[in-house]
Amino acid sequence: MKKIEDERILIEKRKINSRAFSYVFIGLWLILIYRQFILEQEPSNYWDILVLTLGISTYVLIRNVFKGLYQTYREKESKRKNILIGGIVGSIIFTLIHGFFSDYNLSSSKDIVRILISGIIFFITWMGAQNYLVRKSEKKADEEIEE
Amino acid sequence: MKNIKMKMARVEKDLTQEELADRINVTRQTISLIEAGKYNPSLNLCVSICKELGKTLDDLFWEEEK
Repeated sequence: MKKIEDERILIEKRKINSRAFSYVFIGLWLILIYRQFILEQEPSNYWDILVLTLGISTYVLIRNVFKGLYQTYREKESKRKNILIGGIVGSIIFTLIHGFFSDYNLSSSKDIVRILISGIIFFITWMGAQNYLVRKSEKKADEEIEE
Repeated sequence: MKNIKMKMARVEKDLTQEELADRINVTRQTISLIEAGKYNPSLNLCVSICKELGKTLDDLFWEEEK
């Protein structure tokens, strides 16, 4: 009889590796945030970590999309809700960071309007990108289905 | 839920957990966890266990509704 591999061991090992990766991934983002907003370093001081973090993030995103796993396992309503909440939370964080850490004068109504407009542009871009990625991923997921 | 049927089939064949594990190339812990109902094996592993114990999937893994 053909021998099989012990799947439980493989699954457990993958879980450990996956958990370790998640910690490193979160750690990298925290390091970037700390260096940028607390130490106020220039990107030239941490470009290596920046490239690594963005590279890994892009890899995870692209692999998910091309494997047809990007949001495709969710139900339609839950998918919409998830994307919308992500967009709103992301835009609020972007607007706050943009407002507090850029050279805007928060007592000037002109600057406040600028910050709000940048937040709205971020939200629209985010939703557009999400919509594109979900459609692409759904198309890929459908390609895998055999009639 | 414990898999008593699998344990019975193994005992009928006069195999220890270790021996069954060796025959299908998994660890004793995996067999023990399946019998204790703490691990859900894949279909591939279920088939290997069934073949080794001379039983069908229904015999070992089908639960009748109460």
